[in-house]
Amino acid sequence: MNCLCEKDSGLFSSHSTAPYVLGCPSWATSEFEVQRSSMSRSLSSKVDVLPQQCHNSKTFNFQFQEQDASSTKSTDQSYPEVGTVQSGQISVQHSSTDSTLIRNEGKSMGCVIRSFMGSQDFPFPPPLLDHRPILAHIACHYADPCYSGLVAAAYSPQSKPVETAPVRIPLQLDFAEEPIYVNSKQYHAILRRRQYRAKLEALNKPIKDRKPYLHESRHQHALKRARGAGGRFLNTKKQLQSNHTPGNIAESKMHHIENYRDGADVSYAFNSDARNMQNDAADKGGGTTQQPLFVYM
Amino acid sequence: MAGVREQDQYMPIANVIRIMRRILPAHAKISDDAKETIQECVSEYISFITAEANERCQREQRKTVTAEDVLWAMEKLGFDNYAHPLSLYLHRYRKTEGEPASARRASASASPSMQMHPRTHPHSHPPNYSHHGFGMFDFDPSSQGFYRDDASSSGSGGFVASFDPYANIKRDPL
Repeated sequence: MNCLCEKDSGLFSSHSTAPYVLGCPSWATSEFEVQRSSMSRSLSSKVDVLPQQCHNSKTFNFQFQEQDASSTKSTDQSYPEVGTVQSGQISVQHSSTDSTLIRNEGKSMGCVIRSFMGSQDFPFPPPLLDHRPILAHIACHYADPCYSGLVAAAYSPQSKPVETAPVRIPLQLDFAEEPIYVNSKQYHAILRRRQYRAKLEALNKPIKDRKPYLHESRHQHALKRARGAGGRFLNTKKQLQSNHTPGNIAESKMHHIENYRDGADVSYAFNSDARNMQNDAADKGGGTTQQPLFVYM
Repeated sequence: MAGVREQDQYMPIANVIRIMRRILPAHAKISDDAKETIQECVSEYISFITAEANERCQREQRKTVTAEDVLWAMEKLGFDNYAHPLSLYLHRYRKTEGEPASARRASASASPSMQMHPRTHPHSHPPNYSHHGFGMFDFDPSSQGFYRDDASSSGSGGFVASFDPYANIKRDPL
Protein backbone atom coordinates (compact mmCIF):
# COMPACT_ATOMS: atom_id res chain seq x y z
CA MET A 1 0.00 0.00 0.00
CA ASN A 2 2.74 2.46 0.92
CA CYS A 3 4.66 1.65 -2.25
CA LEU A 4 1.54 2.18 -4.34
CA CYS A 5 0.87 5.51 -2.65
CA GLU A 6 4.44 6.62 -3.23
CA LYS A 7 4.25 5.61 -6.88
CA ASP A 8 0.99 7.48 -7.31
CA SER A 9 2.39 10.64 -5.74
CA GLY A 10 5.53 10.35 -7.86
CA LEU A 11 3.45 9.91 -10.99
CA PHE A 12 1.29 12.96 -10.35
CA SER A 13 4.26 15.12 -9.43
CA SER A 14 6.13 14.30 -12.65
CA HIS A 15 4.92 17.38 -14.54
CA SER A 16 8.32 19.03 -14.61
CA THR A 17 10.10 19.08 -17.95
CA ALA A 18 13.48 18.35 -16.42
CA PRO A 19 14.89 14.93 -17.39
CA TYR A 20 14.38 12.26 -14.76
CA VAL A 21 17.57 11.06 -13.10
CA LEU A 22 17.75 7.29 -13.26
CA GLY A 23 19.90 5.11 -11.05
CA CYS A 24 21.14 2.76 -13.75
CA PRO A 25 23.37 4.28 -16.49
CA SER A 26 21.84 2.03 -19.14
CA TRP A 27 18.40 3.40 -18.31
CA ALA A 28 19.82 6.90 -18.63
CA THR A 29 21.07 6.02 -22.11
CA SER A 30 17.65 4.73 -23.14
CA GLU A 31 16.05 7.81 -21.61
CA PHE A 32 18.28 10.05 -23.72
CA GLU A 33 17.36 8.08 -26.83
CA VAL A 34 13.68 8.29 -25.94
CA GLN A 35 13.97 12.05 -25.52
CA ARG A 36 15.73 12.43 -28.85
CA SER A 37 13.29 10.20 -30.70
CA SER A 38 10.32 11.98 -29.14
CA MET A 39 11.70 15.36 -30.20
CA SER A 40 12.22 14.22 -33.78
CA ARG A 41 8.80 12.61 -33.91
CA SER A 42 7.13 15.69 -32.49
CA LEU A 43 8.80 17.78 -35.19
CA SER A 44 7.57 15.46 -37.93
CA SER A 45 4.03 15.18 -36.57
CA LYS A 46 1.34 17.28 -38.23
CA VAL A 47 -1.52 16.68 -35.83
CA ASP A 48 -3.51 19.66 -34.56
CA VAL A 49 -2.94 20.94 -31.04
CA LEU A 50 -6.41 20.20 -29.68
CA PRO A 51 -6.56 16.48 -30.66
CA GLN A 52 -3.02 16.14 -29.37
CA GLN A 53 -4.14 17.25 -25.93
CA CYS A 54 -6.95 14.69 -26.00
CA HIS A 55 -4.50 11.98 -27.02
CA ASN A 56 -2.12 13.09 -24.28
CA SER A 57 -4.87 12.72 -21.70
CA LYS A 58 -5.62 9.23 -23.02
CA THR A 59 -1.94 8.37 -22.90
CA PHE A 60 -1.71 9.61 -19.33
CA ASN A 61 -4.69 7.50 -18.22
CA PHE A 62 -3.41 4.32 -19.81
CA GLN A 63 0.08 4.91 -18.49
CA PHE A 64 -1.44 5.24 -15.04
CA GLN A 65 -2.98 1.78 -15.41
CA GLU A 66 0.27 0.24 -16.56
CA GLN A 67 2.04 2.00 -13.69
CA ASP A 68 -0.28 0.29 -11.21
CA ALA A 69 0.27 -3.07 -12.85
CA SER A 70 4.05 -2.88 -13.02
CA SER A 71 4.66 -1.24 -9.63
CA THR A 72 3.41 -4.29 -7.74
CA LYS A 73 6.07 -6.54 -9.30
CA SER A 74 9.39 -4.79 -8.80
CA THR A 75 10.79 -1.32 -8.31
CA ASP A 76 13.20 -1.54 -11.24
CA GLN A 77 10.45 -1.88 -13.81
CA SER A 78 8.85 1.40 -12.81
CA TYR A 79 11.77 3.48 -14.13
CA PRO A 80 11.09 2.98 -17.87
CA GLU A 81 7.43 3.70 -17.20
CA VAL A 82 8.24 7.01 -15.56
CA GLY A 83 10.61 7.85 -18.40
CA THR A 84 7.90 7.03 -20.90
CA VAL A 85 5.42 9.27 -19.11
CA GLN A 86 7.87 12.16 -19.11
CA SER A 87 8.67 11.82 -22.79
CA GLY A 88 4.97 11.78 -23.62
CA GLN A 89 5.32 9.17 -26.33
CA ILE A 90 5.80 5.43 -26.57
CA SER A 91 9.24 4.46 -27.76
CA VAL A 92 9.77 1.85 -30.44
CA GLN A 93 11.52 -1.28 -29.28
CA HIS A 94 13.45 -2.95 -32.07
CA SER A 95 15.51 -6.12 -31.82
CA SER A 96 18.01 -6.82 -34.56
CA THR A 97 18.63 -10.47 -33.67
CA ASP A 98 16.26 -13.43 -33.64
CA SER A 99 17.49 -14.52 -30.22
CA THR A 100 16.26 -11.24 -28.77
CA LEU A 101 12.90 -11.74 -30.45
CA ILE A 102 12.62 -15.28 -29.09
CA ARG A 103 13.61 -14.03 -25.67
CA ASN A 104 10.91 -11.37 -25.84
CA GLU A 105 8.42 -14.01 -26.87
CA GLY A 106 9.51 -16.15 -23.96
CA LYS A 107 8.69 -13.22 -21.65
CA SER A 108 12.10 -13.30 -20.01
CA MET A 109 13.15 -10.45 -17.76
CA GLY A 110 15.40 -8.29 -19.90
CA CYS A 111 17.80 -6.01 -18.04
CA VAL A 112 18.32 -3.55 -20.87
CA ILE A 113 15.61 -2.13 -23.13
CA ARG A 114 17.07 -1.03 -26.40
CA SER A 115 15.07 1.59 -28.25
CA PHE A 116 16.05 3.63 -31.26
CA MET A 117 14.29 5.66 -33.89
CA GLY A 118 13.33 3.41 -36.77
CA SER A 119 14.41 4.89 -40.08
CA GLN A 120 12.16 4.51 -43.08
CA ASP A 121 15.10 3.79 -45.35
CA PHE A 122 15.79 0.41 -43.74
CA PRO A 123 14.18 -2.41 -45.75
CA PHE A 124 14.40 -4.91 -42.89
CA PRO A 125 12.97 -3.20 -39.73
CA PRO A 126 9.38 -2.48 -40.96
CA PRO A 127 8.32 -6.16 -41.07
CA LEU A 128 9.43 -6.60 -37.47
CA LEU A 129 7.66 -3.40 -36.51
CA ASP A 130 4.53 -4.72 -38.16
CA HIS A 131 4.91 -7.92 -36.18
CA ARG A 132 4.87 -6.15 -32.81
CA PRO A 133 1.45 -4.42 -33.09
CA ILE A 134 -0.10 -7.69 -34.22
CA LEU A 135 1.14 -9.33 -31.04
CA ALA A 136 -0.21 -6.40 -29.07
CA HIS A 137 -3.59 -6.86 -30.72
CA ILE A 138 -3.71 -10.56 -29.95
CA ALA A 139 -2.77 -9.81 -26.35
CA CYS A 140 -5.44 -7.14 -26.11
CA HIS A 141 -7.98 -9.43 -27.73
CA TYR A 142 -7.75 -11.83 -24.80
CA ALA A 143 -7.22 -9.15 -22.15
CA ASP A 144 -10.27 -7.06 -23.06
CA PRO A 145 -12.17 -7.71 -19.78
CA CYS A 146 -9.11 -6.65 -17.81
CA TYR A 147 -8.72 -3.45 -19.78
CA SER A 148 -12.42 -2.71 -19.49
CA GLY A 149 -12.10 -2.96 -15.71
CA LEU A 150 -9.00 -0.82 -15.72
CA VAL A 151 -10.69 1.78 -17.90
CA ALA A 152 -13.55 1.95 -15.41
CA ALA A 153 -11.04 2.13 -12.57
CA ALA A 154 -9.19 5.00 -14.22
CA TYR A 155 -12.19 7.31 -14.02
CA SER A 156 -13.06 6.44 -10.42
CA PRO A 157 -11.44 8.12 -7.38
CA GLN A 158 -7.86 7.41 -6.48
CA SER A 159 -8.56 4.82 -3.77
CA LYS A 160 -10.49 2.44 -6.00
CA PRO A 161 -7.69 1.67 -8.51
CA VAL A 162 -5.58 0.50 -5.61
CA GLU A 163 -8.32 -1.89 -4.54
CA THR A 164 -9.24 -3.24 -7.99
CA ALA A 165 -5.76 -3.45 -9.53
CA PRO A 166 -4.52 -6.42 -7.42
CA VAL A 167 -7.62 -8.43 -8.33
CA ARG A 168 -6.98 -8.08 -12.08
CA ILE A 169 -3.24 -8.67 -12.04
CA PRO A 170 -3.43 -12.42 -12.90
CA LEU A 171 -5.20 -11.64 -16.16
CA GLN A 172 -2.54 -9.17 -17.15
CA LEU A 173 0.32 -11.44 -16.18
CA ASP A 174 -0.01 -13.36 -19.42
CA PHE A 175 0.74 -10.34 -21.58
CA ALA A 176 1.59 -7.35 -19.40
CA GLU A 177 4.56 -8.82 -17.55
CA GLU A 178 6.55 -6.05 -19.17
CA PRO A 179 5.12 -3.12 -21.10
CA ILE A 180 4.48 -3.85 -24.77
CA TYR A 181 6.20 -1.26 -26.92
CA VAL A 182 4.33 -0.42 -30.10
CA ASN A 183 4.87 1.85 -33.07
CA SER A 184 4.16 5.41 -31.98
CA LYS A 185 2.17 6.01 -35.16
CA GLN A 186 -0.20 3.20 -34.26
CA TYR A 187 -0.62 3.97 -30.56
CA HIS A 188 -3.86 5.93 -30.79
CA ALA A 189 -5.32 3.56 -33.37
CA ILE A 190 -4.58 0.60 -31.10
CA LEU A 191 -6.36 2.30 -28.21
CA ARG A 192 -9.36 3.02 -30.41
CA ARG A 193 -9.45 -0.59 -31.58
CA ARG A 194 -9.35 -1.79 -27.97
CA GLN A 195 -12.40 0.29 -27.10
CA TYR A 196 -14.26 -0.89 -30.18
CA ARG A 197 -13.49 -4.54 -29.40
CA ALA A 198 -14.73 -4.03 -25.84
CA LYS A 199 -18.02 -2.68 -27.19
CA LEU A 200 -18.26 -5.53 -29.69
CA GLU A 201 -17.64 -8.07 -26.96
CA ALA A 202 -20.36 -6.54 -24.81
CA LEU A 203 -22.83 -6.74 -27.69
CA ASN A 204 -21.96 -10.08 -29.26
CA LYS A 205 -20.83 -12.26 -26.41
CA PRO A 206 -21.92 -15.61 -27.96
CA ILE A 207 -19.45 -15.09 -30.82
CA LYS A 208 -16.56 -15.93 -28.49
CA ASP A 209 -17.03 -19.64 -29.06
CA ARG A 210 -16.74 -19.95 -32.82
CA LYS A 211 -19.19 -22.32 -34.46
CA PRO A 212 -17.93 -24.99 -36.85
CA TYR A 213 -20.87 -24.33 -39.17
CA LEU A 214 -23.70 -21.83 -39.52
CA HIS A 215 -26.53 -23.93 -40.96
CA GLU A 216 -27.46 -27.33 -39.61
CA SER A 217 -29.05 -28.50 -42.86
CA ARG A 218 -25.95 -27.73 -44.90
CA HIS A 219 -23.79 -29.47 -42.35
CA GLN A 220 -25.94 -32.59 -42.56
CA HIS A 221 -25.85 -32.44 -46.35
CA ALA A 222 -22.05 -32.27 -46.34
CA LEU A 223 -21.90 -35.25 -44.00
CA LYS A 224 -24.12 -37.31 -46.28
CA ARG A 225 -22.11 -36.63 -49.44
CA ALA A 226 -19.94 -39.41 -50.79
CA ARG A 227 -16.23 -39.02 -50.13
CA GLY A 228 -13.31 -40.64 -51.90
CA ALA A 229 -9.78 -41.42 -50.81
CA GLY A 230 -8.33 -38.74 -48.59
CA GLY A 231 -11.73 -37.32 -47.70
CA ARG A 232 -12.49 -35.52 -50.94
CA PHE A 233 -16.00 -35.30 -52.32
CA LEU A 234 -16.71 -37.45 -55.38
CA ASN A 235 -18.06 -36.33 -58.78
CA THR A 236 -16.54 -32.96 -59.58
CA LYS A 237 -19.26 -32.07 -62.10
CA LYS A 238 -22.03 -32.56 -59.59
CA GLN A 239 -19.98 -30.56 -57.11
CA LEU A 240 -19.86 -27.60 -59.50
CA GLN A 241 -23.61 -27.93 -60.10
CA SER A 242 -24.26 -27.93 -56.36
CA ASN A 243 -22.12 -24.78 -56.14
CA HIS A 244 -24.47 -22.94 -58.47
CA THR A 245 -27.80 -24.35 -57.26
CA PRO A 246 -27.81 -22.90 -53.70
CA GLY A 247 -27.04 -19.45 -55.08
CA ASN A 248 -29.94 -19.61 -57.49
CA ILE A 249 -32.33 -20.79 -54.81
CA ALA A 250 -31.16 -18.00 -52.52
CA GLU A 251 -31.66 -15.36 -55.19
CA SER A 252 -35.10 -16.62 -56.13
CA LYS A 253 -36.53 -17.18 -52.66
CA MET A 254 -34.73 -15.00 -50.14
CA HIS A 255 -33.12 -11.58 -50.14
CA HIS A 256 -30.21 -12.52 -47.89
CA ILE A 257 -27.83 -13.68 -50.58
CA GLU A 258 -24.84 -12.70 -48.50
CA ASN A 259 -25.99 -14.86 -45.62
CA TYR A 260 -26.18 -18.00 -47.76
CA ARG A 261 -22.83 -17.37 -49.40
CA ASP A 262 -21.20 -16.79 -46.04
CA GLY A 263 -22.77 -19.97 -44.72
CA ALA A 264 -21.47 -21.94 -47.68
CA ASP A 265 -17.95 -20.68 -47.09
CA VAL A 266 -17.84 -21.38 -43.38
CA SER A 267 -19.59 -24.74 -43.42
CA TYR A 268 -17.52 -26.18 -46.27
CA ALA A 269 -14.29 -24.80 -44.81
CA PHE A 270 -14.64 -26.69 -41.56
CA ASN A 271 -16.07 -29.89 -42.99
CA SER A 272 -13.22 -30.70 -45.33
CA ASP A 273 -10.07 -29.01 -46.55
CA ALA A 274 -10.06 -31.22 -49.64
CA ARG A 275 -12.90 -29.16 -51.05
CA ASN A 276 -10.82 -26.03 -50.67
CA MET A 277 -7.98 -27.75 -52.48
CA GLN A 278 -10.29 -28.71 -55.31
CA ASN A 279 -11.60 -25.16 -55.54
CA ASP A 280 -8.04 -23.92 -55.55
CA ALA A 281 -7.20 -26.29 -58.41
CA ALA A 282 -10.31 -25.18 -60.30
CA ASP A 283 -9.33 -21.53 -59.86
CA LYS A 284 -5.87 -22.21 -61.21
CA GLY A 285 -7.40 -23.69 -64.33
CA GLY A 286 -6.53 -27.36 -63.91
CA GLY A 287 -5.18 -29.88 -61.45
CA THR A 288 -1.82 -30.71 -62.94
CA THR A 289 -0.47 -32.55 -59.90
CA GLN A 290 -2.63 -34.83 -57.79
CA GLN A 291 -1.42 -34.48 -54.23
CA PRO A 292 -2.72 -36.35 -51.17
CA LEU A 293 -4.38 -34.12 -48.60
CA PHE A 294 -5.34 -34.99 -45.05
CA VAL A 295 -8.36 -33.48 -43.35
CA TYR A 296 -7.79 -31.54 -40.14
CA MET A 297 -10.88 -32.04 -37.97
CA MET B 1 -23.18 -1.62 -33.80
CA ALA B 2 -26.42 -3.58 -33.34
CA GLY B 3 -26.28 -4.76 -36.94
CA VAL B 4 -22.95 -6.54 -36.58
CA ARG B 5 -23.58 -10.11 -37.67
CA GLU B 6 -21.82 -13.17 -36.41
CA GLN B 7 -20.19 -14.13 -39.70
CA ASP B 8 -18.93 -10.60 -40.31
CA GLN B 9 -16.44 -10.66 -37.47
CA TYR B 10 -13.86 -12.77 -39.32
CA MET B 11 -12.88 -13.22 -42.92
CA PRO B 12 -14.01 -16.59 -44.33
CA ILE B 13 -11.43 -19.13 -43.32
CA ALA B 14 -11.49 -20.96 -46.68
CA ASN B 15 -10.16 -17.91 -48.49
CA VAL B 16 -7.55 -17.30 -45.79
CA ILE B 17 -6.34 -20.89 -46.09
CA ARG B 18 -6.10 -20.57 -49.85
CA ILE B 19 -3.94 -17.47 -49.52
CA MET B 20 -1.73 -19.29 -47.02
CA ARG B 21 -1.37 -22.30 -49.30
CA ARG B 22 -0.36 -20.11 -52.23
CA ILE B 23 2.96 -19.27 -50.60
CA LEU B 24 3.67 -22.71 -49.13
CA PRO B 25 5.00 -25.75 -51.01
CA ALA B 26 2.53 -28.34 -52.19
CA HIS B 27 3.29 -30.89 -49.48
CA ALA B 28 3.03 -28.43 -46.57
CA LYS B 29 0.43 -28.93 -43.86
CA ILE B 30 -1.23 -26.19 -41.82
CA SER B 31 -2.53 -26.81 -38.32
CA ASP B 32 -5.96 -25.61 -37.26
CA ASP B 33 -4.47 -23.28 -34.67
CA ALA B 34 -2.35 -21.63 -37.34
CA LYS B 35 -5.38 -21.17 -39.59
CA GLU B 36 -7.45 -19.58 -36.84
CA THR B 37 -4.58 -17.37 -35.74
CA ILE B 38 -3.98 -16.07 -39.27
CA GLN B 39 -7.72 -15.57 -39.69
CA GLU B 40 -7.85 -13.40 -36.58
CA CYS B 41 -4.72 -11.49 -37.60
CA VAL B 42 -6.07 -10.79 -41.08
CA SER B 43 -9.46 -9.69 -39.78
CA GLU B 44 -7.89 -7.41 -37.16
CA TYR B 45 -5.50 -5.93 -39.72
CA ILE B 46 -8.39 -5.05 -42.04
CA SER B 47 -10.37 -3.48 -39.21
CA PHE B 48 -7.27 -1.64 -37.99
CA ILE B 49 -6.62 0.10 -41.31
CA THR B 50 -10.28 0.62 -42.13
CA ALA B 51 -10.93 2.32 -38.79
CA GLU B 52 -8.11 4.77 -39.46
CA ALA B 53 -9.44 5.48 -42.97
CA ASN B 54 -12.95 5.91 -41.61
CA GLU B 55 -11.73 8.39 -39.03
CA ARG B 56 -10.31 10.56 -41.80
CA CYS B 57 -13.61 10.39 -43.70
CA GLN B 58 -15.55 11.42 -40.62
CA ARG B 59 -13.19 14.30 -40.02
CA GLU B 60 -13.71 15.57 -43.55
CA GLN B 61 -17.47 14.85 -43.39
CA ARG B 62 -17.46 12.32 -46.22
CA LYS B 63 -19.43 9.10 -46.36
CA THR B 64 -17.47 7.07 -48.92
CA VAL B 65 -14.15 5.49 -47.96
CA THR B 66 -12.00 5.61 -51.08
CA ALA B 67 -8.82 3.81 -52.06
CA GLU B 68 -6.85 6.97 -51.36
CA ASP B 69 -8.17 6.97 -47.81
CA VAL B 70 -6.99 3.41 -47.32
CA LEU B 71 -3.53 4.19 -48.69
CA TRP B 72 -3.35 7.32 -46.52
CA ALA B 73 -4.30 5.27 -43.47
CA MET B 74 -1.58 2.73 -44.20
CA GLU B 75 1.03 5.47 -44.47
CA LYS B 76 -0.19 7.13 -41.29
CA LEU B 77 -0.01 3.85 -39.35
CA GLY B 78 3.55 3.19 -40.46
CA PHE B 79 2.95 0.65 -43.23
CA ASP B 80 4.94 2.71 -45.72
CA ASN B 81 6.52 -0.30 -47.39
CA TYR B 82 3.05 -1.59 -48.25
CA ALA B 83 1.46 1.73 -49.21
CA HIS B 84 3.99 2.54 -51.92
CA PRO B 85 3.66 -0.73 -53.93
CA LEU B 86 -0.10 -0.63 -53.47
CA SER B 87 -0.30 2.89 -54.89
CA LEU B 88 1.60 1.74 -57.98
CA TYR B 89 -0.64 -1.31 -58.19
CA LEU B 90 -3.77 0.83 -57.90
CA HIS B 91 -2.53 3.18 -60.60
CA ARG B 92 -1.89 0.34 -63.05
CA TYR B 93 -5.14 -1.35 -62.10
CA ARG B 94 -7.16 1.74 -62.91
CA LYS B 95 -5.27 2.22 -66.16
CA THR B 96 -5.93 -1.29 -67.46
CA GLU B 97 -9.34 -2.00 -65.88
CA GLY B 98 -11.50 1.02 -66.45
CA GLU B 99 -14.80 -0.77 -65.77
CA PRO B 100 -16.88 0.35 -62.80
CA ALA B 101 -17.33 -1.98 -59.83
CA SER B 102 -20.94 -2.89 -60.65
CA ALA B 103 -20.07 -4.09 -64.17
CA ARG B 104 -17.14 -6.07 -62.76
CA ARG B 105 -19.42 -7.74 -60.24
CA ALA B 106 -21.88 -8.66 -63.00
CA SER B 107 -19.15 -10.10 -65.22
CA ALA B 108 -17.67 -12.01 -62.28
CA SER B 109 -20.92 -13.78 -61.49
CA ALA B 110 -21.24 -14.92 -65.11
CA SER B 111 -17.98 -16.88 -65.32
CA PRO B 112 -17.61 -20.01 -63.13
CA SER B 113 -13.89 -19.52 -62.55
CA MET B 114 -14.63 -16.40 -60.51
CA GLN B 115 -17.19 -18.07 -58.31
CA MET B 116 -15.35 -17.23 -55.09
CA HIS B 117 -14.67 -13.59 -55.87
CA PRO B 118 -18.15 -12.13 -55.18
CA ARG B 119 -18.16 -13.77 -51.77
CA THR B 120 -15.33 -11.55 -50.59
CA HIS B 121 -17.39 -8.46 -51.33
CA PRO B 122 -19.92 -8.74 -48.43
CA HIS B 123 -17.14 -8.89 -45.88
CA SER B 124 -15.41 -5.71 -46.98
CA HIS B 125 -16.75 -2.80 -44.99
CA PRO B 126 -15.71 0.05 -47.35
CA PRO B 127 -17.03 -0.28 -50.92
CA ASN B 128 -13.93 1.07 -52.61
CA TYR B 129 -11.66 -1.13 -50.55
CA SER B 130 -13.52 -4.18 -51.79
CA HIS B 131 -13.02 -2.84 -55.28
CA HIS B 132 -9.27 -2.79 -54.72
CA GLY B 133 -9.17 -6.14 -52.95
CA PHE B 134 -11.37 -7.65 -55.62
CA GLY B 135 -8.88 -6.57 -58.26
CA MET B 136 -6.04 -8.24 -56.42
CA PHE B 137 -7.80 -11.58 -56.62
CA ASP B 138 -8.81 -10.92 -60.20
CA PHE B 139 -5.24 -10.71 -61.48
CA ASP B 140 -4.24 -14.17 -60.28
CA PRO B 141 -5.95 -16.21 -63.05
CA SER B 142 -4.73 -13.87 -65.79
CA SER B 143 -1.99 -15.02 -68.12
CA GLN B 144 -0.09 -11.73 -68.05
CA GLY B 145 3.16 -12.42 -66.25
CA PHE B 146 3.93 -8.77 -65.62
CA TYR B 147 0.86 -8.08 -63.54
CA ARG B 148 1.07 -11.43 -61.82
CA ASP B 149 4.61 -10.67 -60.66
CA ASP B 150 3.56 -7.23 -59.55
CA ALA B 151 0.57 -8.54 -57.61
CA SER B 152 2.49 -11.36 -55.98
CA SER B 153 5.44 -9.18 -55.02
CA SER B 154 3.37 -6.35 -53.57
CA GLY B 155 0.40 -8.21 -52.18
CA SER B 156 0.96 -11.74 -50.96
CA GLY B 157 4.76 -11.69 -50.73
CA GLY B 158 5.09 -8.58 -48.62
CA PHE B 159 2.03 -9.37 -46.58
CA VAL B 160 3.04 -12.94 -45.74
CA ALA B 161 6.63 -11.92 -45.00
CA SER B 162 5.46 -9.73 -42.16
CA PHE B 163 3.65 -12.66 -40.56
CA ASP B 164 6.49 -15.17 -40.91
CA PRO B 165 8.19 -14.48 -37.52
CA TYR B 166 4.97 -15.07 -35.65
CA ALA B 167 4.20 -18.24 -37.61
CA ASN B 168 7.65 -19.64 -36.82
CA ILE B 169 7.21 -18.91 -33.14
CA LYS B 170 3.72 -20.38 -33.24
CA ARG B 171 4.99 -23.65 -34.67
CA ASP B 172 7.85 -24.14 -32.20
CA PRO B 173 5.68 -25.71 -29.45
CA LEU B 174 4.24 -28.25 -31.92
